[in-house]
Amino acid sequence: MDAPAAEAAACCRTEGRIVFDRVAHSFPGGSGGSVTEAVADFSLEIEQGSFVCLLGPSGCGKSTILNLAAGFERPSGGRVLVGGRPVTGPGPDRGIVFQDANLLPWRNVLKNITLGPELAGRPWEETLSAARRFIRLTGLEGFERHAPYELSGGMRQRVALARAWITEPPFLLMDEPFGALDAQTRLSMQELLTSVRQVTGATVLFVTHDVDEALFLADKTVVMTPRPGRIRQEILVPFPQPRDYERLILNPAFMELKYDILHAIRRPEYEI
Amino acid sequence: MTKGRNAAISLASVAVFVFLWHVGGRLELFSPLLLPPPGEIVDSAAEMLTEGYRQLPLWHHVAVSMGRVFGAFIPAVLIGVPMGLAMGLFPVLRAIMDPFVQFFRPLPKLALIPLVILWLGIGEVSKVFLIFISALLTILVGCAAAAGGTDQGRLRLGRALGATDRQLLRYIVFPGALPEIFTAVRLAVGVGWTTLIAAEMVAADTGIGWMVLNAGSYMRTDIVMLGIILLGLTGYILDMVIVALQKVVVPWDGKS
Repeated sequence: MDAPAAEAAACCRTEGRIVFDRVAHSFPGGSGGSVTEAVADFSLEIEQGSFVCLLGPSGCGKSTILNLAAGFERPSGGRVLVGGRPVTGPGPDRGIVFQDANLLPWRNVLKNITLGPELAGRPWEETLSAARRFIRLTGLEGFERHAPYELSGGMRQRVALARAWITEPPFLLMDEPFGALDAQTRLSMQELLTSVRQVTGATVLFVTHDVDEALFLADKTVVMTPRPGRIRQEILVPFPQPRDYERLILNPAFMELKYDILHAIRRPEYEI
Repeated sequence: MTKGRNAAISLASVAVFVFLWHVGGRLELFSPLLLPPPGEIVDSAAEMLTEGYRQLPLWHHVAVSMGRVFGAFIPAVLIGVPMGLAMGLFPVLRAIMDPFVQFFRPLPKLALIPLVILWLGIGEVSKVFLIFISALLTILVGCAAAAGGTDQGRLRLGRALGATDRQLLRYIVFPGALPEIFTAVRLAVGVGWTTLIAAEMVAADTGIGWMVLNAGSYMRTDIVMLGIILLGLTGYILDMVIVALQKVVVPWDGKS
């Protein structure tokens, strides 16, 4: 057996996985050449098709972890593997949704959604039919020709989701995508995300500081420590998917889990 | 509502000013030789429209001046916009260019006239060059800032969607910089129009700038005033054209 084949056999199930292997990351600090350690000794394996939420106090390096998987930054130590390969930079295999919808104001809703396929040089007919499908799934019918500034925050985030989904990337990286929305809109966006996931089935890494959100969406939540971020606790969320929010929050098991997680987040460092 | 009201106030303010000027002239509060009343300027304008100034009709002077400004301005935009954007994107290029740009930009262009005459002669080329260099420097600085200030989130988005460097420039950087490019072009029109007078000091025998200077040496203050009004109005109209164009090309500008 030649080397690449052996490698392929060894990592037979790595295709849809995201692996952080003893990852450390630090930024150059302000004065005096000091460095800020954002994350340290972070190891996590995200299985193909699973939904993992990163939870933690603000400034704990959740977004740094996501940026490393996205390829916006390189780890200063350890390895980040997406689909079995080390991350060398951003790429269209990882759909990204930020807290800010980041729509291009000079493109209408349709053209914002089709940006990815256009950059990849896909035929327009094919792109358009894919766009129609995700416009329908995200409830954006009738808004195709609207300019981003004519939309509400929730509608903008729907466009951002459709833009990330249209190429059906095997990985989705989401950085507090609903953090800036009001509670009602946030819930309907979470339900949208759940329902579309039944269709697309990507591996998702989702950063949030909202425990309810994590428990509603995730198969597994990962609680991080304050800076430098390490993994404090990995908690499986046992409720079957898809979940019903109103029923879920009345479930005593949910409340107990929420208590545990809140406690884990707020627990001071010395109790580890 | 308020827009219409403010326009009406502006018009009224101009009307009151012209009226006071007229009354002042009638009451001989100032010498008509030094400050001719509005009526006299209208008379001279009528005379110039039929007979022209120095054997050339008034519109000819306007057209010649416009020709010089646009002859300089169009190449300044065509060269300045891509070069300025490149300066904003590539720090090395910026480091190379910046000392020269920053040295020449605040330099009064009148100081360049002797050299420009020696190098380029006293023909049209030197006049156009003076306006060109002023407009170019303004555009370079504006476009460099525009490209350098590209939103980080948009760049990350582009990269995450698999954009190549060329695609980033075409799909993200350039359209994002358009509002600021327009602002730079608008400033450059103002600067170019301002430099026109300097340019027409160079051995000219046509143009509104020249007309003003020439009429001044013959104490024809009415023609000087007419020239100033024409220069001001033309500059004003050019600016309005650019603002209107901006609304068509970047309708999203200023809307979050």
